[in-house]
Amino acid sequence: MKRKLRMRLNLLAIIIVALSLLVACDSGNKTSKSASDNASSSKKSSDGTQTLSIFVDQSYWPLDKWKGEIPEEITKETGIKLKVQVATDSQQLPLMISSGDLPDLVFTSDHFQQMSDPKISYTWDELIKKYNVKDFNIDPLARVLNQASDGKLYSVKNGFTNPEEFKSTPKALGNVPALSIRTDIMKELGNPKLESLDDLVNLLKEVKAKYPKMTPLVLSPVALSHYFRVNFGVGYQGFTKVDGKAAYYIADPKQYDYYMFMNKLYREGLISAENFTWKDANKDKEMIENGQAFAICNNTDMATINAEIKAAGKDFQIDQVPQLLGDNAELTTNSAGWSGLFITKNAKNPKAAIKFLQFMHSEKGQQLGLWGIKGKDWTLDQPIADGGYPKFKYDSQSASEQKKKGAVWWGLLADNGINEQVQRYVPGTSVTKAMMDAKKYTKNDPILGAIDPPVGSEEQVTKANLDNMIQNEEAKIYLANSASAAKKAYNNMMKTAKQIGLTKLDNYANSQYNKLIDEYNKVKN
Amino acid sequence: MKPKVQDTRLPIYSVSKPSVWKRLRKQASPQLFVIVGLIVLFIFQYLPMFGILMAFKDYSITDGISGIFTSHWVGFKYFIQFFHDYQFKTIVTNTLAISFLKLIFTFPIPIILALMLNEVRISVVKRIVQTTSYFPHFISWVVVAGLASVFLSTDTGLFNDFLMKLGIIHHPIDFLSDPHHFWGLAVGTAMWKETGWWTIIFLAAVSGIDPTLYEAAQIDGAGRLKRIWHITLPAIRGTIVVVLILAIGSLLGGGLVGSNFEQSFLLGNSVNSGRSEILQTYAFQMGLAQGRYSYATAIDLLQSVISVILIFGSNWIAKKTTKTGLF
Repeated sequence: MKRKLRMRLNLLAIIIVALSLLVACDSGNKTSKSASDNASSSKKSSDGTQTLSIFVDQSYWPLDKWKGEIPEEITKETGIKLKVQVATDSQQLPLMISSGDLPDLVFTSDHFQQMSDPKISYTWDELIKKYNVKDFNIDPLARVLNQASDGKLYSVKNGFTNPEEFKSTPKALGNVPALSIRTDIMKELGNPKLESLDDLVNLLKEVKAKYPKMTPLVLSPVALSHYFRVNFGVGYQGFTKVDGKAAYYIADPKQYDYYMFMNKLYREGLISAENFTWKDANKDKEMIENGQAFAICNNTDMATINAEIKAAGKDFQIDQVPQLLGDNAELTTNSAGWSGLFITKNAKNPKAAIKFLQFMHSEKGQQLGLWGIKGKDWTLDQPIADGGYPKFKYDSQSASEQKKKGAVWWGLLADNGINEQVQRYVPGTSVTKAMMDAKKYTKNDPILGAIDPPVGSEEQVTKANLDNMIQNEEAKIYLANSASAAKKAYNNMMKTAKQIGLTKLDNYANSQYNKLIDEYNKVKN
Repeated sequence: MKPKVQDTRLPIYSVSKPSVWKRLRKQASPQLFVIVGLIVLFIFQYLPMFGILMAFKDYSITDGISGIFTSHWVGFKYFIQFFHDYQFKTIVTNTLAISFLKLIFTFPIPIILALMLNEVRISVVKRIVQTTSYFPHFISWVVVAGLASVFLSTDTGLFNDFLMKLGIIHHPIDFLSDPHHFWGLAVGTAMWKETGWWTIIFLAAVSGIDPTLYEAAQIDGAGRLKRIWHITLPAIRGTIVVVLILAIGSLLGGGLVGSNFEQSFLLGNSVNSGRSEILQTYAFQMGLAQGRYSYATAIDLLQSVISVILIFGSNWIAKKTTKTGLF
């Protein structure tokens, strides 16, 4: 009797253990399911608004909530709220694609090709047709530049401006890599001349001699090479023109001069080796704000840095050098846009999603998203084409103000370039002066920007391998102990690039370029 | 003629062995616990192995799980691609070098520390040393990597400052950016983090030794070192061999102290990649960053095959030389 009872108790214990295991598995599923539900559901709340989930594939995106007067105004106009998820790193979206756990909307640049897949995203055209969306016109040029390998349009990259339109719009300013320096130290040094790269090297040497504990120059980990590449007139990503033919940016022989200059900066002790190891995207900012560095090369961020220095109670400021310093400076943007908004096949309400997109794509939607509420936040005295620009009633360039209002960033979801570019114009500032100066050197061939090998293709693998190789090998050039060692490292990098398939990739790029230019000219004419 | 020898052996009564089924029924309760464990093991360890198929197929992630079965066979295409990868030699060298260095340096240290602690007679000191040495085991690698950056930086690192103030060095050492320091950094930080933890295993083995053996040796005039050499080490030989086999089995993952991936991922960068890129980080990068899942699976499978060979090989050698093995 006792034995039987013990047996039953044992069995009961085993069943409980087994059940708890299953419950654990099930609750695990529930957790992921509820996360997925949250991510992909579009619920209608009591106030009649719909909630769409969005994944923003830019880890530096500052707005992780649909909060502030501008998002609220967008909700009023569209009846849509966004549930925001910002990427923690560049691997998150590929993981979500693999698991199928995608939200309603995805905004991405790096995985544009991967998202342009009929199994993952809706094409804009099919939704426009299905839901009979009126007045949603897609620029035929943008159509050519953004079409996927199957010829369909899954998204349009934002920020694309026709190069002629950019040039002819007086107050349109491109985002330029910036060099900013400490004004107090400049004053102490007697404001030495700063008109060329040689002047810069001399200035940094002077700083090093007078302030040995200070790092003369820090480079932003996210824009490490941008400023100096622009000053040497070479591209820092994608495809460019070499001898009249499309080629991968590294194939440009002018890159050699850039690498040698960077190596010189390192050998002179003007930049540190550790700068190339930083994983924290804000490390450069931290160094300059803590007074540990004299100059900073980054994407224009002077207003924010100065505001943060002031808030920390420090008594110095930085100022952006208003002109490019290189003899052959050229800002080769070659851009067909930046990031695209995709409506995924997981979207519970594709109709609401395409309507939202339509609004954000409209002139009104762009101005609201980028600038704020008309009259309250900005006024426009004359048409943009005639030199007009928004006159803001708030500090439009301050990151904290932008975050508080929800300005600029949501407008980027579907902007046409010009509205974003005139937002940068603030008369009289050194940043505006630098951007106006850079405009003179800007060259943009959007067709080159549109060359993007399809996912899984041999060319895409070659391009990825090249990027990986360049990242590893160029560090050896930067940190070589002598000019001859740097030259050797450069030659080795180029030799490896050819072994990986640089020539083949260039041939592919050239044929794609010719094909796209035919289509582009047809549409243009 | 051979003399008749009386058989003095005791008669053997044949006792029929109960059948397997009967024995299982007899052990029903404990066996059920085992079955639950086996099911869990099967679901989480064996079932996902069908993913290995990806290494031999032209798989696209958008095809979902069914795509693993329906995509085209490509044979050893991805393995051959990896053998021709410009980084192949570097990656394999790094993986093997870091793993073997860890084995050489991190395996004996816990044994030595356990032997030393065993000789400490003041229990408070023994406990303090034991606790402080195994405490780092509970710190995650992310934190360790952060601490390493803070302590070892050339610009702001305390360690470099300390060495310079003592006059040992005149220029800060580029621990984080000089590729030549990476292997040392990996072994050093792993040793710091895991030595204390593995010491516990060996201390447990040492504590199981019969104290009368030591007393007898002491009466015979054996000193401390003699007692360690002739009593302690032979007594824990079995534990040492088993731990060594396990360490060799997981050699490419970092052996006893593990963490090859975490270290290379967190402390590796484009400057030291020539010494920090290993099979695991490369597979991670190819799979998740570039979306080349078949290629990444092939790289990882290659590592698994090497690990299986290592574990069988080391077990065979251990059995031949010490008569002790895992299986």
